[in-house]
Amino acid sequence: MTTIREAGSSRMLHLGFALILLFLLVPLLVIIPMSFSETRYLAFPPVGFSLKWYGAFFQNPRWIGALGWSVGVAICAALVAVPAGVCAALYLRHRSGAVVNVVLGALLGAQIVPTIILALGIRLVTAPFTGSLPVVVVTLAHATLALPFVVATVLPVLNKLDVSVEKAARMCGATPVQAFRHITIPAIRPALVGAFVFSFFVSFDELMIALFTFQTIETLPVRIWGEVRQELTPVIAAATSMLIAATTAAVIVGQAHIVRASSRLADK
Amino acid sequence: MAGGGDAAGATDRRWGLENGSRHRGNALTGARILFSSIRKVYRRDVALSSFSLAIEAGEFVTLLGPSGSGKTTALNILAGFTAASGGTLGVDGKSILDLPPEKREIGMVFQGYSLFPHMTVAQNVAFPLALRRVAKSEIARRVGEALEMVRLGSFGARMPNELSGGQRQRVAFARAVVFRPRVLLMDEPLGALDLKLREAMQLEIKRYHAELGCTVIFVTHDQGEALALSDRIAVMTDGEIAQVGTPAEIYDRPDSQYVAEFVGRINVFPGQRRPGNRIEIPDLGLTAALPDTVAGAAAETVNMCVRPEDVEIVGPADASGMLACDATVEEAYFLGDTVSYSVALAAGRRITVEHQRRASTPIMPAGSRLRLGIRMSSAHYFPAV
Repeated sequence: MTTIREAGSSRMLHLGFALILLFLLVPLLVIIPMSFSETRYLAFPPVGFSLKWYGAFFQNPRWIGALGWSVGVAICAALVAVPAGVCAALYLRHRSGAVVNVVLGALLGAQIVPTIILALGIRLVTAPFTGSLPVVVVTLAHATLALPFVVATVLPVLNKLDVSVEKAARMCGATPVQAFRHITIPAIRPALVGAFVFSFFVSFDELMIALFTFQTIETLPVRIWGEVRQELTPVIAAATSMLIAATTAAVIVGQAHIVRASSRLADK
Repeated sequence: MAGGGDAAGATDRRWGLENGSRHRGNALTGARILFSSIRKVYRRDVALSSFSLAIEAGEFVTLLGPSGSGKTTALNILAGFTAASGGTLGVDGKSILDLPPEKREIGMVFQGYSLFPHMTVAQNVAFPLALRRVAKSEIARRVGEALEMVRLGSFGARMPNELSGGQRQRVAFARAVVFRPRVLLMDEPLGALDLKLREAMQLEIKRYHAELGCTVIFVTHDQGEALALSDRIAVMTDGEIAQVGTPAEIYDRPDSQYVAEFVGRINVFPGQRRPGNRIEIPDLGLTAALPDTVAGAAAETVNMCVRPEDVEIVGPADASGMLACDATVEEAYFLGDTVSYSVALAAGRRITVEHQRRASTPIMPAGSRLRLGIRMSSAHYFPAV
C-alpha cells in the first residue's frame, strides 16, 4: 500500500518538475525557432528557414557595437569580481558558519535589493557625469552583483584545500606570497575559471543598471530592449538565441570547472 | 667508503645515546636542537610550560603524548608556525625564533600528506629546489635520487590523486628531504595509513633516517610507533615533558605512573607505606620491602605497578623470591604469540597477565585457577596522587 502511494507521489513529483522545466524552457523554445524565420516580423511558428537575421545582426554596427560593449564590461566586471571574491573567501576560510552566513548575506544584499532601485540610485548619482565614468560605475555595479557567486564558488574549494598544503609550501622554502602564487592559486584554479565565467555572464545579461546609467552607450541587453520597443524584427530573436547559447555553454563550462576543482582536492 | 660509514652510523643509533657521540664521516649530518624553557600561552590555556629538550645531531627523537599534551605546539614552534611566548630555541647554537618557516631550512612531513594537488609527483619534489634556484639538470638529478630513495622512481609523471596513501606519504617524504635539510619534522606521518602499511612505513622511515643522517623530530600519540622508531622519546603531558629517555628506559624504568600507563600497559596495585620502608598490598594479601630508591616518606599511599608480561604464571612450589598470589582466569584473549588473560585476584582486583606462548602452549579457559608470581625487581612504585 505504502509503496504504491510512494510511487504515486514520486510520479507527481516528476510531473511537477517536468512542468516547471517546461515553463522555463518554453520561451527559449519559441524564441530560437523564430530567429530562423524568413518573415520580416517575429512569427511563430516560423515561416521557412533562413540565417539572414543572423547575418543582419553581424552586419549592423549598432548590434556589433553593443556586443563589444557587453563583452568589454563583462570581462572588466569579472576581473574585478574574481580577485575581490577570492579575498572575501580567504577571509571567510575556516571561519564559523555564523560569520560566513552574515558575510554571504551582506554580499547577497545587492542581489536582493530590486535591481531597478539599485539602477535608479546609480543613475541619480552618475547623471551629471559623462565620459568613461558611467562605464566604470556599471563595471563595478556588475562586479558587486557577481561577488556572491564568486565567493560561493571559491569558498568551498578553498575550505577543501588542507592548510597543511600551504604550510608544506612554506617548509619547502616558499614565502607567504610565493606559497599563495605557486600553490594556493593554482590548486584552486578551476574554481577561479568557473567563478570568472559566472561573473562574466552576470554582467553580460544585466539590463537595468546598464540601461539607466548609460546615456549613449548600448550593451547587448540594452540594444535588445531598445529594438523591442521600436520594431520587432527577428534580429532580436537571433541576438537572443545567441545569448542563450552562449550562456548555456558558459554554465556548462563553469560548472565543469567547479566540479573538477572539488574532485581534485577530494581525496586528501 | 660512504656505505661503511652509513652502516656504522646505523649501528650507533640503535644503541641510542649511551654509546656517546655518533660520528658520521660522510655526508652532511643533522643539526643539534636546543629547546630551553620554551613556553606557549594562549589567552587562557598554557599549551607548553617551560619545555626544555636538547637533541643531538642526527638523533631520532619522538614527542609522544595524547592530543593536547603540547607535542604539536612544540613542533609548530620549531617549524615556525607558532610563535613562542618565551624561552629560546637554537639550531646548532643559532637562535631561529625570529626566522619565518621558509628561512629555517627544516623539512617537514605532515599527517595529511599535503601534496600540491596541481603538480605531478616530480614537480612536487622539485618545488623546494626550484625555490632555491637550483639548475634544471641538477633538479632533475636530485628529484630522481629522492624518488629512487622512496622507491617511486617511475612515478614522477603521476598526479597525487592517482597514488595510494602510502605512496603519497613517500612522495611527501621525498619532498621534505630533497633540499637536504639537517632537521626533519614529522607530524603523525603515519596516522592516516592502515596498520600493515604503517608497520612497513616504520621500517622505511628507519631506513631513510639511516641514509640521510638528519636530525628527526617525530610527533605521535602511538606509543608502539615511538618505541619502534626512536633513539629517545620525550613523553609529554599537559604541556610538560614527563620523562625523556631511550625506549627501553621509558618502558622499563618509567619515572611516573603517568608514563608507565601511557607507554605500554600496566597493572596498578594500591598499597600502604608501613614502618621499616615496607609496603602493604591488600590485593595480594602481603607486605613487601620497598626498594630504598622509593623515597618520599610522607606519601602514605604508594602504588605498585607491574607490566602484564612481568606477572608470571608459576607452579605451587617455585614462587620463591616472588610476590605470589592465587587468581582465577576470567577471560583469555588469544593474540597469537601471546595470550592476554584477564584474571581476578583472590582479593577481588582484576589484573592483566600476558603469557608468551608457542604452538604447544595450552590456553587456560575461563574459570581456571592459577598461581601468579611477581618478581620484586620488575615492580615499579609510585606515590599515589
